[in-house]
Amino acid sequence: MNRLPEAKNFVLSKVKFFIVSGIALAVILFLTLWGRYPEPGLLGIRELVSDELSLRIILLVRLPRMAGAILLGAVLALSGTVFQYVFANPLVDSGFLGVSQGAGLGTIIAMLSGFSFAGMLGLAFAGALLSLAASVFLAKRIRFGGLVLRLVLSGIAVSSVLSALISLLKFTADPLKELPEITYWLMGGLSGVRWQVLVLPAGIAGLCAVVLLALRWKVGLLAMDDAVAKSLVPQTDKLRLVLLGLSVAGTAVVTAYAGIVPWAGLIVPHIARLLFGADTRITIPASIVLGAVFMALCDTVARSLFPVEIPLGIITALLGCIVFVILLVTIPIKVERA
Amino acid sequence: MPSIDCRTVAYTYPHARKPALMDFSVSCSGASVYAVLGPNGGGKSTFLQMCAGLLKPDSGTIEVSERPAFLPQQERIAFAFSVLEYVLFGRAPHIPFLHVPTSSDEERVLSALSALGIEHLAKKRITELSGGELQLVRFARILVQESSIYLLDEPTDMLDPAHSVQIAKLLAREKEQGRLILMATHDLMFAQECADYIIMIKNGILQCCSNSGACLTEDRLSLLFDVPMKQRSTFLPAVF
Repeated sequence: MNRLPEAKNFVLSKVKFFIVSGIALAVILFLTLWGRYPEPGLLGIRELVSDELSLRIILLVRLPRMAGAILLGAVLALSGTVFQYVFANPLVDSGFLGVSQGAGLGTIIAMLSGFSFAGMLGLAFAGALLSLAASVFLAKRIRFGGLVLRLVLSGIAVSSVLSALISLLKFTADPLKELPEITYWLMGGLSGVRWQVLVLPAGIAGLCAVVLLALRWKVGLLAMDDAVAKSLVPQTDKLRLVLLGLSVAGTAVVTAYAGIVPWAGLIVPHIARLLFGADTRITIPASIVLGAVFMALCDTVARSLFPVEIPLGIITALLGCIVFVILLVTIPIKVERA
Repeated sequence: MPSIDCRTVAYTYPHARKPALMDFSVSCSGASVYAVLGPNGGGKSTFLQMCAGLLKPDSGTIEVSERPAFLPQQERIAFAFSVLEYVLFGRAPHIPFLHVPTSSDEERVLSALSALGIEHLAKKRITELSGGELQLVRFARILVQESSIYLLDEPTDMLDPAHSVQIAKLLAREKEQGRLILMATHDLMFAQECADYIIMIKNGILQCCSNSGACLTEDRLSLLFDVPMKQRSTFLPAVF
């Protein structure tokens, strides 16, 4: 039987996806072995067998850190993709609607109050959800525009208020002890990540990711015009809120252990669409894989470029911005049509 | 039998001063084409959106025998989906919550594209289509919904005569297959050629609902559009 032309296309995309995933796995393995011990370069099998310290560094430091980077990148890219489709806008990411700032504010309050990591996670989650709720609440009271425009406007307002509150907390923090800690955390980083830190975030984010993956085709449907989407799926607004809630939860838990890490959620979905097209059946899994490898690369640069570690947020902002500009000036595809 | 029954429907948009529809009652049923005519802002699109379930009446009732397939006048396209991916979204009402489309859904999409003579566009991105091609692709999305009721807002907007004829033939074919079609249009020639019945709306009030011969008169149209209307011969596609 002859295959349908598009079905054949979809199979080709799947094959391409598995090839890219294989390459990503190899790159991640390579990056795990790359570092500054015992000297800048790659750790070989011989060193791992003969030098116990090398093995311990890999197992107890680099592997959990790499897992943290993979989780962070995958979740931010997944959430960014969902946000872009839900808002039918390729220029938003998971920090939208004040979510990152909300999670940040919650985490800083937990830091200043001396909470445990679980408490920090809980407050980050609460902060992000409250930001989302505040944005949605405000959007419902704006008197013009469709839901998407109203959420955009309310997101800007809520983000500004939260940024101001974060600045206020920094202003009132102990300048010798608390302020450097908050400032460093806000710049993002994975230096303190160990296996036990990852258990809870991985569980929560994993659960969110499974549901989002199951709904991946419906995510694409939400990028359609509101009237079209609602005529096809009457519960569109509810579906939109469920998808946003899951993305926010994922973003909050990774922000709690890694700090505010910008740009990954914005550019990785663009790269995924460039490689695989706009179909979310492929683009969403591809964003997860590409987000993981992007963050693994950024974190490796952050920890091994200089003897002193550079905050991760600086690397993602630099690399992300460069990639974004390259994409903007080279992509020949029109992305919007009135 | 497909049917739409509106009884004394009233609707006012939030923060609007005047109602968009007032005491609006109309019944449509069976395999027929209804053209909804009226001046801009008269209530045509509001009526169709109510039938599509996108707006809820402030008072009165609307009964629609099944979920209709709705074609809005314009739509925003944010991502460069392929034509096939785009039309595939029309299958959403038939796909369970946590599922993705199957190859049978894709087959239906390809036969809809083929019925419209645009199967060669299947792999093209929708952002690369001409206005006429895009309208046909949007029509394909209506077809794959497999509804017995079509609600079309300005289906010939931006179409050249050849594409308009194609849409007219398609409507005739769909009517023969038992579908009820409501289309809001400003194209009087198209309405005259395609519609069995005319619904005239002005200032949210039903002016006339009858067969096209009774409604499409110079007097009624002049009153509807507040401009003298006269029937004249003009250039038409030979098939009309």
